[in-house]
Amino acid sequence: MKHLFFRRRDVALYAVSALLLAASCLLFLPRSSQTDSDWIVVEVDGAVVAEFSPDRDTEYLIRSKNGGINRLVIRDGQARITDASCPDHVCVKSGIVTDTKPAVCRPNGVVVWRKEAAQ
Amino acid sequence: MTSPKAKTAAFCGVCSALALGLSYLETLLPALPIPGMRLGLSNVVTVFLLYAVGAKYALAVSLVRVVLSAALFGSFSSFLYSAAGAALSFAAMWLLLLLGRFSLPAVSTAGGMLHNVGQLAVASILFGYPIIATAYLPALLICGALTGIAVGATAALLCKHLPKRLMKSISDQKNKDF
Repeated sequence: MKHLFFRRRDVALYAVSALLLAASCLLFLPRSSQTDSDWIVVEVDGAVVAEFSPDRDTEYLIRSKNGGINRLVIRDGQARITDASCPDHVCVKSGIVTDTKPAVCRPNGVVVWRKEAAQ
Repeated sequence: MTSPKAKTAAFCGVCSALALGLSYLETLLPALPIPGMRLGLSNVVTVFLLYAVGAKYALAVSLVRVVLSAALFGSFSSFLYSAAGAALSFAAMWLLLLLGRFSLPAVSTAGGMLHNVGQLAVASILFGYPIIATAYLPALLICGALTGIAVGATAALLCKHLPKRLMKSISDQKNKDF
């Protein structure tokens, strides 16, 4: 009677259940920061010139037709433009590139955006 | 005097009717946010019978409930889902009670989780896509654990408060500790 609601050995069963639950969360819950098939897309004057995986740290100089240069840096899964030859530096100030917030350089005709993994 | 056979038959009939009624009650509730998620009210009857009366009665009532509730309120695919879930969770709960002597809420937690694993396995086969290896698994495991613990606690309350002679007169395990 006194064992109907709880016994000490129940702890083991609850622990195993919690462990399995945690394992399934780790394995199967989507992780927002590093989905493996995201892409960083670089466009100059409306044409795609390069694509990068955000998972690999890299640096790339985007050259536009008017001689302008934007420096794209990908680090820790995040992409941003750190340097630009244009006067306004809007693309630098816009910071990390996300799927809803691309980095745009109007004077050089450069757009860098993040393509989300197809669900 | 009533014959023990007649008494057993009547008792199982009443329990099946109760389980079926609870299944119907569940179909009246508004749709839950995650497809495949249910409260599992009728499992209260299964868990109670499994602990207080005997595995064969629990299995029989569970079988009747799965077949009839799919025939009355569901479809063939809902039958497959609940049959797989019920079979897996029943086997697990029976073994845990038999071998592990865990308490009802713990056993029923495992049963609830495995019920949903069974459902997802069937869904994976029916859809031809490993749904079991997606975010559905953790979501339904959490649901199964929460509803399972509630079901187990309810069944334990039943064991505590129902008149003991009711179970003793049917049960073939006379030395239960309630």
